[in-house]
Amino acid sequence: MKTIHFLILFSFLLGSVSCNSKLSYENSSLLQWDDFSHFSELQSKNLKFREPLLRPTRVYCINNTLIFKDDSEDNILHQYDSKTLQKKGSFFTFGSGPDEFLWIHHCQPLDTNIWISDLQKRSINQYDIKMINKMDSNNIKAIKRIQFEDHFSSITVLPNGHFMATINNPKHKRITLFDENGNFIKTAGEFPPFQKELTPFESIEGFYCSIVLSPYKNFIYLFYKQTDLIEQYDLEGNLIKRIHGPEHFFPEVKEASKNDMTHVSSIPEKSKDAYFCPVVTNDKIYVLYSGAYFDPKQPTYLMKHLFVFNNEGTPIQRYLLDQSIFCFAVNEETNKLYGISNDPEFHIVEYSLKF
Amino acid sequence: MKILYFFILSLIWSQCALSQNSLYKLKTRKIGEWSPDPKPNPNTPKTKIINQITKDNSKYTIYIKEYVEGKSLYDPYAILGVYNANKNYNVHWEIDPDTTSKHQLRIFSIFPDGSMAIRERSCNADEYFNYVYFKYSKDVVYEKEIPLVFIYEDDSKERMNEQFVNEYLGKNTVIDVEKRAFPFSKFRRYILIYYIASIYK
Repeated sequence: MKTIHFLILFSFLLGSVSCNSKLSYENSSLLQWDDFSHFSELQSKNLKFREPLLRPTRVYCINNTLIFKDDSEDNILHQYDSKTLQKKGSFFTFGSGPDEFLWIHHCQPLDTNIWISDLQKRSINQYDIKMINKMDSNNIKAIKRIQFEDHFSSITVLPNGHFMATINNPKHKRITLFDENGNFIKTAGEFPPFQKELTPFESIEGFYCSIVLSPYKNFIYLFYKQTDLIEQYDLEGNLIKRIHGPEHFFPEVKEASKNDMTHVSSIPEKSKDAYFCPVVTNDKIYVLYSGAYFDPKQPTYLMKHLFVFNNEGTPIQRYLLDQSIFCFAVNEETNKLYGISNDPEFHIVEYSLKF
Repeated sequence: MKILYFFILSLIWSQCALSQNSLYKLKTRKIGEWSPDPKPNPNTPKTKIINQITKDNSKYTIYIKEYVEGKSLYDPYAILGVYNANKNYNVHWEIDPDTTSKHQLRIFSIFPDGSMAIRERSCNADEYFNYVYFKYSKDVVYEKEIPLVFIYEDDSKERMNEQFVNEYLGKNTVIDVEKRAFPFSKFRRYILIYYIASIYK
């Protein structure tokens, strides 16, 4: 009897292992937890700002200044001195005006500029960093405003002023290049192929990702949100490599039709979250890793794993955070990490990074 | 044997303990050919609505309601947006009533979290839609329907309703119901966009 039980359990385990091992991405190398040459556990410190924000949802660090996004205030972006924690000012209002934003997606510093993209307006505005630091919020005018025809899900500015984006349109391939005026140049690459076939809409939703320019500005990295996959492209849109791990899972999404609508949804206990909020510094890329299963009954966005890669995509450091966060910024001068948590309420935590 | 069972049980338990909601936002699309997501015509006047929450545990709900001959029509999609917020929270959203297509009205409500609600209404070939805003206070008013936009159907040739609204407004640009009651009953078909704020426990 014992032998039968053992055989059944053994076959079950073997079956599940062999099922998973069948799947793999083409041209990918596997990333393992112990591939990171250094591992540290970090202790957080709760920061007390003099004029705290109600609901900060994004943070950026530029020249010792912390810029928070909080659309529950009159303005959307708010500057704080990272040393004194004093508020320096606020700027940009919600709206459709030329220097207003409906949904700020990302603030990308590049050389002397900061590029602010808006997913709802399908636009990206270029501002002089010095102008933003002056904090005369009423006089901040964009140097350039680019309007795109299609909705993008992620966008980055390239060193030559062109743009590389992932587009929510099945007619586009994995990445799409635009010139400095937002004119279409080409669409290239392919959604990561593996043994399971996804519908075009499932591919768009299952392969949702964040796109960032590498620290030395010679590569593009795509950090996937529904599969623990990282892709490296050159600036012409040619795939260089795929890195799959550390848990080696794939997008689990399902397309369904009801009435005249098609709906793609995550699958509870099957869909998992992967990489979120990549942050690029002078020589490193930091990214939060989740690994959590999708459960609509217990919503949370918080993550406690922080991975660090170098410019070439080599894993160099892994951190375990004592307080989970959903977004962060890094001050390279001071080696401080500023994270946002909403548990139990919105607050900012600081970590001292160890190398 | 027991160890094996325990191993399997602990695997299941640890997976459950890890369960969390996805950060990921899924979208719904029409069947068939892909079409770009709708957006208001660039010439549509865009209006920001800003309200400040003045009490903790507030619920601010935005509704759209259509009336024909004095009766409100049932609409399962009457809610345009909901905010749950505490004191000092600023509710921002934008409303873009797109009337550029003469007989088809598209009302876009755009929210700072990236969500957008779209409602469409059609009228006969000899009719068109027009709209006017209400005056409202920045501080949220509780337990009351606070109208924000009045959209009405009018005859393209006679334009009687438009004339009536212009006469009512005089030099003003918005309806001020505190100063003077607005005679909704004069209009055969109209749409109201309003909010209701309440305290939840």
